[in-house]
Amino acid sequence: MKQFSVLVALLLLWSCSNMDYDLSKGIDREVTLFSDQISLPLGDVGPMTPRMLIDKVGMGDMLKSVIQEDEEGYLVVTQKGSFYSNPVLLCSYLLPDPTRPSVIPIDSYSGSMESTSSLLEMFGLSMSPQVFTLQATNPLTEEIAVSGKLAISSDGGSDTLLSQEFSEVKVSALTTDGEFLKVERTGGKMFNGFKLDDMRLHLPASITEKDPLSGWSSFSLAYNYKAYLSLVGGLPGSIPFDISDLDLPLGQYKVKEARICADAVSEIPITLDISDVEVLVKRIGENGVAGLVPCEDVSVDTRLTIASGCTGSPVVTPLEIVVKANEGTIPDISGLRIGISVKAPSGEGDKRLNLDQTVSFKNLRATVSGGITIPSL
Amino acid sequence: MKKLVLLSFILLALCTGAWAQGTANPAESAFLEYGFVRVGEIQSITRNNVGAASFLFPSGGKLVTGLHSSISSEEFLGGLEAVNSMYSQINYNLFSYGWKSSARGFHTLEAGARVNYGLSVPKEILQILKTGTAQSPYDLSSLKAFGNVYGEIAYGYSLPLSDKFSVGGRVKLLLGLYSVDVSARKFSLTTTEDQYKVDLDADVDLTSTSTKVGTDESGYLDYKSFSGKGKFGLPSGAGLAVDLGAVWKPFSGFTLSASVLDLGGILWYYGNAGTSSGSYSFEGLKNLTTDELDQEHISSRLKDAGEEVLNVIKPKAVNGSYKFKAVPLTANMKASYAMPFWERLSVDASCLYTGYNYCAPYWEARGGLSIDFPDIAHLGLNAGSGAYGFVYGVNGSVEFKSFRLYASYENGIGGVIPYGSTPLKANNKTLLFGLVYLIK
Repeated sequence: MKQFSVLVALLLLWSCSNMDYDLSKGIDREVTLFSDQISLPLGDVGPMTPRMLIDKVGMGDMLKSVIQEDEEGYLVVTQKGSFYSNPVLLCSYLLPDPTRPSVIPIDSYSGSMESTSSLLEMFGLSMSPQVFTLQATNPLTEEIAVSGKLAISSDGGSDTLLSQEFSEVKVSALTTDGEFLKVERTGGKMFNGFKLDDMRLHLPASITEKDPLSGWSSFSLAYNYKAYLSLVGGLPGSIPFDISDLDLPLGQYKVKEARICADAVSEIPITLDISDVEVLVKRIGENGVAGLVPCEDVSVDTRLTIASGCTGSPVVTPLEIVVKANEGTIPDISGLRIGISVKAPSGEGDKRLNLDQTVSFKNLRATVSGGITIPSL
Repeated sequence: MKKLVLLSFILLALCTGAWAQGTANPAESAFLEYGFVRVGEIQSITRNNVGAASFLFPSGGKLVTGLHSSISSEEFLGGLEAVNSMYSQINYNLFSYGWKSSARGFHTLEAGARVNYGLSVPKEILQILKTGTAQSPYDLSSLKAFGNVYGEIAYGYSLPLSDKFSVGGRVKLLLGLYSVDVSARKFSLTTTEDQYKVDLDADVDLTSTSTKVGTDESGYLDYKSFSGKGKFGLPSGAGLAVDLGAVWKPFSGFTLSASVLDLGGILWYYGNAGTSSGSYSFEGLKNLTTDELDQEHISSRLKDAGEEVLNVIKPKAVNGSYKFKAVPLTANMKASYAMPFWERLSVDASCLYTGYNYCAPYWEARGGLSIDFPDIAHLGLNAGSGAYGFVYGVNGSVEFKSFRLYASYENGIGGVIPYGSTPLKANNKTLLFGLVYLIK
């Protein structure tokens, strides 16, 4: 009988409560989710254009004082000027025999480009291609022609870059600022002076009789210089840049490693290299003032080179930044210190800078390894 | 000492054990010599294939959840089943009346109610929370919830075909009162670095003839809007079930009985039916402009994405429909042999199988001993193994004049949460008690 009662007692004991599971003492509700890894698609950002960035930082007016924008949005440096203008009636009056085709000599003309190149070079910018054109206004109802010699120089006129003679280049009837000569050069030195010699205007016979209404209008000749901006050399070194207004309270989540990836799709003909990324954390200095200092407990590996593209032909490059705690977990992040290297575009293609060229960040995704701790579920 | 042991047995009999009258073989009453009236029998069955210890862990002097960093993935996920289910059933017998006919048969008339509810959660959901999304794709279609309430009116008849063999049957008219059923034909989650994709095809069925769930302007079920609230309506389902049984006593002292209970189901009318169907892919917040890179805009875009997910998950109202749902079926077999040297002592063996239409079946086999003092008391002890491991049971009854008080208690091992009854391990727990008046 004793054995039987022991058996009953044992059976009852098996169903007894286990004090290790006493809920009245409370449950630690801290949980660590996704302890292996979780990846989350974040989406796409963009497209963004340099124009948006300039508008956002309010640098538009300052930029316009140095650089213009052409009708297609390309950044250009332009200069134009007139070097000859005479009314038709006066020309006719000065001709020895207006009833016959005549040639009017025009004084030689020298000019210089208001150089902004030194300023632009500070930003690694070059002017390429450079386009120099000569234009004429012909108010007559029949064509005229222009002859002469153009020399373009650099280095204050000491180095002649090109010299070109032109003879009786036609200018159509009733033309205003019609281009009759165009010189274009990609790369090489900046144009900073030009000289026009032996210029002549070839007029038809009896211009006032055939075309009496044009008498009060003028023949005119002008030049137009246009240089497209592009980055050919890049900037030396890297530009340090601090982002000090971050407030990422990651410490409480005890994250060990976070990786953010994206595909940069860029039309901008500039190679951007973001390197030397440091995580900044708040520390109280010896003077009792809080400041941002680089966090030595966190390492940052980056693959953040945005390859150059060009208008209509964007280039895709994968980007990746990995923030990893060397020991423990990633602390609260209060800022980032990054170094930005601006480099020349690589490869072939149009390298002109345009304010409407786009850059997008596609397939942004974040991966957290080692779990995310939530203090109380 | 002897008194103490005797007293503990009596207390045990009063507090715990007795034959599970609710699963009684209908053929067993064929040998009764007198009628009975039974009122208010309650049987509670709780079956869970995982226990609280699969979710809570003592660690460092405190209690933590399986998602705590001190609990490894293997420790937490290794203690879970592929589908973690909990099932509860409450049988309430309003009254039973049994009488012996002028012929040889025995009649029973019974009325009662039954409440069933359950929940199934696939392991994948907890796996995602614990380890992350590296194991994609996930099949979550075993996520289910159901509950129903129905009444039973039963007529039973048993007949001794000979001194050694009897058969019995019970026909039950089932009157469905309420039923809710949430089940998915397809529910998958695919996660990659670039995309989270949910494919869902699920039904939400809610019965009620008197209360109608409203819909919003887009046709989705709006559970905050009801019409006919508080009205008492007609039954929303009807069905039939039968219990069949046989008892065979091939030789003196040996009894073999077998029964199949609750073979049937209910045709429910789900007047408030909805279907969640569709596919949603989350690829992050697309085409964010620089102007939108602030908390307000990002929150707004996330809210929009959440709305899109809800549009897939939210059940859209569909026309009411009839659906047949089987009630849990139970099959029992029991053998009992009275010891030749002392016929009051019997050796018992039994097995049980319960099939569900929403989760894995439950089974068990037991062996035991019982002592029977006719017209005074009965005590039985049993133990065995089942789908959820070791099980044991105690049952007993005491008689005083024409009243018999009976109870039974069945449980698994592993303990319970202190000051509560939640089992720590996978468990089948059955509690039954009732009072019967014997018409002698």
